[in-house]
Amino acid sequence: MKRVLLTFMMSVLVSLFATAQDREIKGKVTDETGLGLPSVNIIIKGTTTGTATQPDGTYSLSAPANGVLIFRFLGYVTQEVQIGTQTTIDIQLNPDATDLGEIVVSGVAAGTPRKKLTVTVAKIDAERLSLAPATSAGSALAGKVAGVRISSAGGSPGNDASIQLRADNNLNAGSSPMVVIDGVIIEGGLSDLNVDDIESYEVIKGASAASLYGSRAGNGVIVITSKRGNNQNIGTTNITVRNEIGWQQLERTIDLATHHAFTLAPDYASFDKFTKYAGVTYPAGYVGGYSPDVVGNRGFDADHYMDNPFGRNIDQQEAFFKTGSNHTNYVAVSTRNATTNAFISFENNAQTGIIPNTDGFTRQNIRLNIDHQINDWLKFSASNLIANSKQNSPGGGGGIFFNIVLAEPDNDLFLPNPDGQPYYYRHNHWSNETNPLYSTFKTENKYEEKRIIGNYRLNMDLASWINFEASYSTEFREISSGSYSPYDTWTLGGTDPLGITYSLGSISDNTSERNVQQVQTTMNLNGRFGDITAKGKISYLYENSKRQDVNASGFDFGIRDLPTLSAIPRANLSASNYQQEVIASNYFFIGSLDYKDKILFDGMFRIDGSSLFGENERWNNYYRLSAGYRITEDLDIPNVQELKIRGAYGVAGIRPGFDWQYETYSVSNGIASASSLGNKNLKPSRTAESEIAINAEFLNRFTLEAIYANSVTSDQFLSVRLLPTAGGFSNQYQNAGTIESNSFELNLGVNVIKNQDLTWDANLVFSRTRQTVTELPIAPYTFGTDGLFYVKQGETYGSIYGNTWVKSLDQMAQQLPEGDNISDYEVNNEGYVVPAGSQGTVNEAPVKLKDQNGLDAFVKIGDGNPDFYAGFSNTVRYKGFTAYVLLDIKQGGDVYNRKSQWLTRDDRNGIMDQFGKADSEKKALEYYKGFYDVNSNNSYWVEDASFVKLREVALGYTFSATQLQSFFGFDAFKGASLRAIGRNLVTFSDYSGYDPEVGSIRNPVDGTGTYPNFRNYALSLSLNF
Amino acid sequence: MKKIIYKGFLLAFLLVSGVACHDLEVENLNNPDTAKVLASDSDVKTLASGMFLTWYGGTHYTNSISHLLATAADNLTCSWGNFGMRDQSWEPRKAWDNQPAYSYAGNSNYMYRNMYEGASTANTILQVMDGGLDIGNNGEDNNLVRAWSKFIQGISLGYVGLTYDKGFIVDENSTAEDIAAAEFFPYTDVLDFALTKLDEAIALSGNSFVIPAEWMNTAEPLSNDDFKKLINSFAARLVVYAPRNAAQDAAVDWAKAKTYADNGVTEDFIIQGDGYTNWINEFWVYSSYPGWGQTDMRVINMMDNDQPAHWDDDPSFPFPPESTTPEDKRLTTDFEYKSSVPFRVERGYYHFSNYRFSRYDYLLAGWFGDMPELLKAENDLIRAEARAHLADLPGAALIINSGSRVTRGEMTPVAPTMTAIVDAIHHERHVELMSTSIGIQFYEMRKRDLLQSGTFLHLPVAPQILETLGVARPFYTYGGPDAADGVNASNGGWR
Repeated sequence: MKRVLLTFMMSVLVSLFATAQDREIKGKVTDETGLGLPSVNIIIKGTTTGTATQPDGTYSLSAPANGVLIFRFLGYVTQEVQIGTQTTIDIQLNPDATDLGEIVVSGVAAGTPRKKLTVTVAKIDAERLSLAPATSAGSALAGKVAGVRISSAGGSPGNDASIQLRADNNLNAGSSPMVVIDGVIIEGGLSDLNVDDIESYEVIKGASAASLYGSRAGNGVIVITSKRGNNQNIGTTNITVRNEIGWQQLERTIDLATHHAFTLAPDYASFDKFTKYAGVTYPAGYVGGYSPDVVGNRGFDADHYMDNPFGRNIDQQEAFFKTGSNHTNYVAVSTRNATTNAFISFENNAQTGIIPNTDGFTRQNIRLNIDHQINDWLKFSASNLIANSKQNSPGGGGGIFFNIVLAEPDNDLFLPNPDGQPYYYRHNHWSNETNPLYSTFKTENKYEEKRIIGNYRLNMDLASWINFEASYSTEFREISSGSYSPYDTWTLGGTDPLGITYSLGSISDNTSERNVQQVQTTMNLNGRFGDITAKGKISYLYENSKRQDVNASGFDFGIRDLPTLSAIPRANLSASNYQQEVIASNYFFIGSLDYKDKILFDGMFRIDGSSLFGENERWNNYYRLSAGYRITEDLDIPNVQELKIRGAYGVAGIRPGFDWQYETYSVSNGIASASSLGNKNLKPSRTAESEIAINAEFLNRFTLEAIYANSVTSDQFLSVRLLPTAGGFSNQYQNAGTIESNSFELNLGVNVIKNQDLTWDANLVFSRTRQTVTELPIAPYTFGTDGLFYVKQGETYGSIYGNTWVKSLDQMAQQLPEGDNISDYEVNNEGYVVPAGSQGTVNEAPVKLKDQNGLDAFVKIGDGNPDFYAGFSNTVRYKGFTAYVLLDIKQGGDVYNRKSQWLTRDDRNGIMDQFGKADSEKKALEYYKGFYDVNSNNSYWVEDASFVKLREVALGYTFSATQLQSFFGFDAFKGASLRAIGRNLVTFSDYSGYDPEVGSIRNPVDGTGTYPNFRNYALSLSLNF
Repeated sequence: MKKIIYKGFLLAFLLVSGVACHDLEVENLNNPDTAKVLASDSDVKTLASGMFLTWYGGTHYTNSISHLLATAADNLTCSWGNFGMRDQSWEPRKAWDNQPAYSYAGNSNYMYRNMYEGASTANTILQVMDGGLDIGNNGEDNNLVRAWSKFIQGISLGYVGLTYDKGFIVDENSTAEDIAAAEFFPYTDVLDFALTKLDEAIALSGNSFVIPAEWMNTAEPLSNDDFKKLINSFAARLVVYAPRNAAQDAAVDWAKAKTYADNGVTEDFIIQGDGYTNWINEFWVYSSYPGWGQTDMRVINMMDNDQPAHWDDDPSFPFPPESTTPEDKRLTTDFEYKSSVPFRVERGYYHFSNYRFSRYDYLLAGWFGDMPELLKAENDLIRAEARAHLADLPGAALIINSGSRVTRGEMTPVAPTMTAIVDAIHHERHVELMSTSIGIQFYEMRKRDLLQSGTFLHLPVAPQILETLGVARPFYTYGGPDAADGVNASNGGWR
């Protein structure tokens, strides 16, 4: 495979430098002011031969006397000149009056200047991305685009961030947007896509704009375009080498208790290896950890205050988490001649993360993008990405993140096991929580993915008004995952007095092969009728997605130290597989009309057929109407250079899950049992969105975009519970229920300073979204982690429900137990009602709020939706210096801190530590246990997760070719850039966990098993040849 | 012009070829539908093979309620909140929280649903057979599948009747209208109906057939005779464990119970652990696994009078030392002394215990091996109990003294008196039958009025079911000190 690839690449490169010879033509190309225009492309019409102008606008090339030269330059009107007898041709190119800024190609009929868009498509280009290149394509948009919500649920290197555009409109289906890379609708994540290769993101946020993409686009669309060689001068070759080395570090630790409430032995101070408790006898030489010879139980002091010292005070989080590293090696070669351009790159990326004994994530990417003009009417393009990634996640899984904070300060994680293995499995005599270091040391978890994303495209210019395009796209993924625990892995159990035994080992080996293929044929049309410019597109898209999984696992090795399933006795082996195929067939038409560049109209219609729809609902329709009016084309408004109003209405959808339409029996070990009743009428959910917006440019330095969008998603996928007597089927998916959302987005850019040496650009993005369940024809239900979120008609989607606590005597008076008097209660110093006179005693306990039936009130205790999101970026350039800062801001939005609640169970929560408090302020641990309430969902653990995050920082200097030449004495370099980069450096927040950015966007819950996010600081050196 | 026509032709060709090359029908290759699972007699037989596992999971998995019934019965102690164990061992007892948001409401729902899902599958199979489908060559397996399906109907509805206050009555003759009506019947009616199904199964088991070993994951296949014994024992359970209080216990049809039990198992009915895949008695796992459940002091005290029957909720309560000469020797063979307790102090010392159940610890090494579901001893105890109530006290004493009380416990033989026999049965159900099947100790305590006051005597219908039916909230419930009426919640108690 490697040899074939190499041969192919060499042949492409050779072809790039092959040019034909004829007669010599010279000349100069100038702009409207007479200055020489560099890099103007000059092609001999009907051939693939050409050249580009020099920096002073001059050029020379060989051409036949009967030929025609075509002069093309972005932003200028293309000119054709008959050569005839001329040997010198000087021409002047005139600006193209229709050039209206950056071109958007997604969600529209044809490439459209931003000023003429009628829908919302945000664009982030390579220049912005390169300021502080994100470690993966998934997180690169954070804080940069209004209405785009990115949340890293955990810091595990290689994990995908969750992305949501505008509101979460779906009850059961996910809210991730559709992602298109170089024309390929991908199904895999973005973690193995390197940012250095990305030319631009186009973000189609709402269903109105995304309706062009039909039944997969209800959550919006992100279109990623990778770099190509088409934007550089003909006859040039550019080489970029970038190396980055960085460090990864936990920003902050969780506040844990360093004191306890247990009664100490009188001579406890004489022991510094463990805490000596009263009432417990210890064997001679005891140094900590579980021992069967430790007899008795530790008991509490009479006051139950956690203010007693441990025998020693180890910061277990400090001892556990490590400083990780990351590095990136990137090289890209791009070249171009008159007919062909190519972009080839290789990236090697490694991120260890912050967990010991864990390799983290590595990625190697190869990209090859080629465009070749076969003749004057036929062009071939290919985009290829080969990605190879490996993720080694911590042994022990998420449990280690709980175990490390449960470890008591006197526990020695580094004690040996009885057989000499490191990290004694039972490091705490008083708990069954196990040693997280041992798990990372002993168990291997791997996830490896090989991925090919390819798009191959033929473009035919049939006539000046019609162009035909055919493309084939593929995404092939081969995923291998598994885990291995050797025979001698300690586990709890067995008959040994230590309470641990060898697990005898286990192994799992899972493979998944996923192949996405798409074929698309498109007819692009354009024409001009008087003052009206019309563009259109008729397209057919066929999609096929296949998946095949094989999972095998076994336990109890028959042969030790042989990590293969063959070493497992047959009786202990199990296997399963999974397979699915999804087919879709889609037709669409989109057209745009442009009257004198000021009145703009778009319309589209699409029909989608999919095997995911029930057989009675195989085909569904989508459409959009949008219009815009550029007011400043008619009105001269002082200090306003551009003012446009626009509006759009469109319908997009979300497809059902693979098996939701089918009547299913679950199958295990050859046994079937009824599961889900099928639904032949199941159709995609339907999101209808209305959008109005204003775009403006004013005072020659401000750009503004303000958008209001309202979306209504109906025909949700409700899993309707059935009576168990109905054939044993537990549920049926039905289309019902509606969510309505309203979004407001603002994008304000300002060019604060702009002169030759100094520029300062600032950009503010802001978004606010509200989403409500407006119709729910079934009983309200809980969903999400631990059922924390409640779906109820009329309620905000994302509301957190549970029990809450009485906080006033008025409330208490409404629910006085029989025989009690209100004077039996008081409000304590934390604002909770407790029994009168109980403060500071073991009887101080919060009181749960009751409902009118005397039951624990089930009420709204939080809302995961923030008040708003904002991002504020500043880029200052002074000569060669660049300073860039991006603040990512989230105001409001609650997180349920389950981890904090769990920590209270084991007296590990820092809020329980009473040491240093005045006696009058101290509380017995029972007070906090009252809120713990055996992990019931209650309001005490809901925290405001607002944050201001220093998301990206970069300080750097860019060296010019001249500087480099004078420094090195030769001119090999075109430029170089040295940067110090920081990612997630500082988070300002009152949240008590590691990071308020935790859990998914829909499920903002800080669970016990979350890999903490971490900061990253790095040095990057980029050289251009 | 010619070129354009040519290109146009090419365009049309590509468009049309794109349209014509596929359809949108995709088969789900992972899960069969009803047509597939009922496609042939062998498919129906395969469907039938999974029904007992549905019942077993519904009664033995952690998703179910076996653990909370055991802590409510003061047989098991565990202050961990999991599976509702702590909530049903509060002292004093609290009402069962029957609202959908309750953390362990799903456990009740799981058992309730599983019972009916198993029964519904049996109904479907019997409907197909009533429609003329023969199972096996010339219908040679008809009796096997019919008897098996009736058995599943019986035990599924039977355990609803044992554990809940009311349930649906459905079988293969129920119409769509009957099912849609979703009428609840009192547990007594549900139990009566279940027994008729078991009677039908017993009758059908007079025919020769073999229950394949994998249907219940037994070590060997069961002959029709052995299966008939098993059905009888399950029927005996339904009769004897049904009473909600002592008065109802006295009114049991003991002759019927005796008939069932006398025709019940003569050997232990044992399910084989399959390595924690499907066949795992999680009731036992979390009742015994180190760090989880321990044996309630009441049971320890029953085996050794020198041990306290209750760990007082007092930090100065002395840690009881290991027993050396217990009256019941099983304390030294089936239980492990623990010198310290894994539970948290602030949750109440009354949860503490100095012993854990270790009889089946061999399962810890890989989760393979014998998992007793219905011991011969359990059936013998019912035989003895029936005889005692039918005034055959010597006969009852003879059975007990031939059993585990003497052979394994090395306890003094029981005297042929009603009190002694009832106490001995009570003792054996707590000690010998520990962690085998769901609810044995709960049902035993219930009918002796020994459940602590306020403990529910049966559960209300699971809230998710009520929700599906559109019942108005708040949903009814049982238990709690204010509801101790002796009918739905205990008004007695051993302490």
